[in-house]
Amino acid sequence: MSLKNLSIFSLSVLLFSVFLVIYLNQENSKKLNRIEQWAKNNQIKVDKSTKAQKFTIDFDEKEWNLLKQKLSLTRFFTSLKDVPSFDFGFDPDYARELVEYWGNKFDWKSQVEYLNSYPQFRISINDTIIHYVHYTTNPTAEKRINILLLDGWPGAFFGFYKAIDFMEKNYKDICFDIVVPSIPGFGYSNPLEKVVDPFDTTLIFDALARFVFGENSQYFVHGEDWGSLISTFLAKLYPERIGGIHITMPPLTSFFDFNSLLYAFAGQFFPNSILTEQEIKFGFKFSLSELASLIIKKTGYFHIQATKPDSIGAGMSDSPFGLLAYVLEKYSFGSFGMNVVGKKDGGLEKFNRDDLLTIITYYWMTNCISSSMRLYRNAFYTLEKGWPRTVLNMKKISAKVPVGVQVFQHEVSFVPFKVLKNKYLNLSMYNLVENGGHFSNFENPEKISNNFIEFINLAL
Amino acid sequence: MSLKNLSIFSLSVLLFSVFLVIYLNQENSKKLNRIEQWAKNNQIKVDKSTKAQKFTIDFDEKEWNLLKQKLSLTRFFTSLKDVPSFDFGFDPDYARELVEYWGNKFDWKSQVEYLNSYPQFRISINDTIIHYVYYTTNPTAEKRINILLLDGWPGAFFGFYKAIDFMEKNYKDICFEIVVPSIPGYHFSTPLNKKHNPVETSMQFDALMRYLFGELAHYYIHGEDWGSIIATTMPQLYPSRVSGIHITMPITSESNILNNICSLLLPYVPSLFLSDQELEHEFSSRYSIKSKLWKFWDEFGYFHLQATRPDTVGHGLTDSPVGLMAYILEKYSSWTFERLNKISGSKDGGLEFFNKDDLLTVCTLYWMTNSITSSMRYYANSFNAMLEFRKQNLDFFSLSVSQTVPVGVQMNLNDIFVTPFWFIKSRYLGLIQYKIVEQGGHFAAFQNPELTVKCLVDFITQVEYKI
Repeated sequence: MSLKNLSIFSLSVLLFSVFLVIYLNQENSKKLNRIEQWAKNNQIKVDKSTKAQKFTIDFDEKEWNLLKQKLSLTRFFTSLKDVPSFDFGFDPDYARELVEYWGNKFDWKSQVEYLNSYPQFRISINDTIIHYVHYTTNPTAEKRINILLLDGWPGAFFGFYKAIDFMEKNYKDICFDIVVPSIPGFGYSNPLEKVVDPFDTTLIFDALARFVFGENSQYFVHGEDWGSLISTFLAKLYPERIGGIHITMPPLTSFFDFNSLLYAFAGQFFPNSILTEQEIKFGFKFSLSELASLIIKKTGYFHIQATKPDSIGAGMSDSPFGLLAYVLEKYSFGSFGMNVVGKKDGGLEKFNRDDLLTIITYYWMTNCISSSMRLYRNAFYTLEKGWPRTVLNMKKISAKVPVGVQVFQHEVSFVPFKVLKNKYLNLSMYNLVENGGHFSNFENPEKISNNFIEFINLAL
Repeated sequence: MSLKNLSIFSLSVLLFSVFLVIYLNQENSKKLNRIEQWAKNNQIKVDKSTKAQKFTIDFDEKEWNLLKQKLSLTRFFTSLKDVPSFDFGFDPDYARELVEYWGNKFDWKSQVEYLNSYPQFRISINDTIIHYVYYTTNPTAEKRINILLLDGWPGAFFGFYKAIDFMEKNYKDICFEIVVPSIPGYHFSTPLNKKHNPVETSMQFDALMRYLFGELAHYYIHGEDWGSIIATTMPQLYPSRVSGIHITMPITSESNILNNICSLLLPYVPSLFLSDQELEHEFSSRYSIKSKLWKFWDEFGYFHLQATRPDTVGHGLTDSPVGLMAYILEKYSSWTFERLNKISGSKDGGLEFFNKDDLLTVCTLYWMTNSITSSMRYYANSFNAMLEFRKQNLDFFSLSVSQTVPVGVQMNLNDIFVTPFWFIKSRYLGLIQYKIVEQGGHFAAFQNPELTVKCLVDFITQVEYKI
């Protein structure tokens, strides 16, 4: 498209948008009330009959041997000589190295002990099995704060273990009542044989919070990846009970949101006008072409998971090697961005190898890769049910709920402060962090803990 | 939009377009000349040192046993109960059924014999290994036609076997010199350890034809999927050698501004652009921008992934037979049948229409040659190459095909996208045949060998008579 055509097109979009924004702003507060009312009327009942069962992870020797057998039969392919490592995806040579280690040196039994170091439970809410960790730090401390820690894909509940440990040791004057649920279809929140989308998950997680903390208790939420989206839903639906949400990946809803499209348009021609100084220093960009580039270059996996998850699920449920390469590629690009291209290990040697393999083995043992990927499809599949699921098209959150945003330098997507200020009417905190990536709980447990607690203290 | 506004809008668009078309056409022929010159300068030498070797496919017992061992260890997952089968991709229950058959009843040894029923060769051109079938039908017939049969992803060369057989039996007065090469990186055109794109493929396939039929040889091309793209590029490179192209997947190039403007107008004034037959088959809605975007979203996840990170999904498909099968056969389902009526909610996604052994032979062929990842890399390589060529002002993928090259199109209605005649003609200037196939899908020759051959030979006959 020539510059001239782009300008003509953009100008008409601009004019159209201005009128739309004015119209929509008037609609907004009416809509928020509507959804709060809907949420109250459709709350999932949690009563004396709802019971949680203690849960311990087994070391399944038979399954572990089957995994090792499959690893020993792994078939590989060769890398291209004239293409840099990780340019086309997970490097086949490095994958071979990891498979070697996984099958011969990795000690799953010890890892299972580690995974069991915090108390876990399973409960059925709305006919959906939810696995969660429930731990109370410093039970005798006077100050009590209820928190929900939410992860996403391809994360794991035990990614938060180091953060929990840090919170316990460094905030002895606070008793944190911590719940870490797994999204239905993830890990031990299985089996799942029906469609449960992020919106349903929100209702279920709130029910879990009421079950654990009490019907009218307030709680704070920290959310990463899908967790950021679910946190935002929670704040929209239950502003009375959510003390505040702390998110690392503000949902990129620019495609449904004319307001932020306007900013993207402005960013196309005046890139620095829509960014703060710090954002510019960090190298963040927000423009129409940047959004286009993001969609084209980085969302192939998202596209296929949101349309045909079962077609790729078959291979990854059957091949541990396939699972490893697919998932760890995310830990590579997600943590370091495009810097990984050319690196033999995709940057992954920075992490503890056992930690990474524990995540993969956990996805393998729970046979949940397909059901976890279906979450992407579900998110779009249920949109035809209409409102309130179309709340995915998120515009604003009530000023009643403080929002804290902590964005790491290599986060997968980026929404500028100026845009967020319009969406989160009570944006009480906005921090950028150098040298960190998408998997914040895994990579930077101390930073997110400190930031989260600071945010909570601000809110209280 | 009121009628008055629409008229004003349309009129300005129309005027703008007229000037644009005149300007673009002048640009176009200049650019095509450049490409022809570039092709002459970069032609691959084919001389006495180039030698093809006869090739027979081995029944590798060890590999077959390994495959069966892996199949016996297959781990499955469960289907969702409240979603029609195949709505989320390849149905896990049907996958289980096919894996059962594949590991216990499928006779790979017999299939290998079948695969060897036509003579095959391998040759190294430009340091790239190319496997091909080369067969001459009715050698004593007077009329000789050289023809390249090209398929794409996830196809296989033997998909043309039934078509070749039909050509031999039903056109006894024509001697067809048939060449069926596999794209480098596909099946036995391996190993491939460097980048490779459709322009290189085109050059190498042309070199192959010159090797077989002489430097001045003329030939026709029938192309499906990537084969259509290669068939479109070859006449841009060698317009004097390509007698005509017959394709099932015309690329009308969305960067063609005129086409885009007309696509916008299409839903409002369909009869301006569409024939009665096209109107009857709802081309106005299927070719609308909204419909195309929706289809792109629904069906092109694989494309998006393969064009950006092919190795990512390659690992699982290289190591897991069921993974490979589900990923590939989902295409034989989605691209052959109507989604709402035949696929969604069905037990088999429509696949029982095909011969089970044929489908599993496609999968086993990808498996045995360990070529799934290199086949998918073709997508990423092609996109990178496209951007590179654009920088050098050699815009193969959006330039038209010269009027001097006759084009025949077989439009299969159940294919992912359909393109009306009007929009094809603006890029394929020599379009002389356009046939709509009602129950036809993407894998034209594989699904409908007789119909496809009839379309093809009708086209060739038309061209030959004109000459």
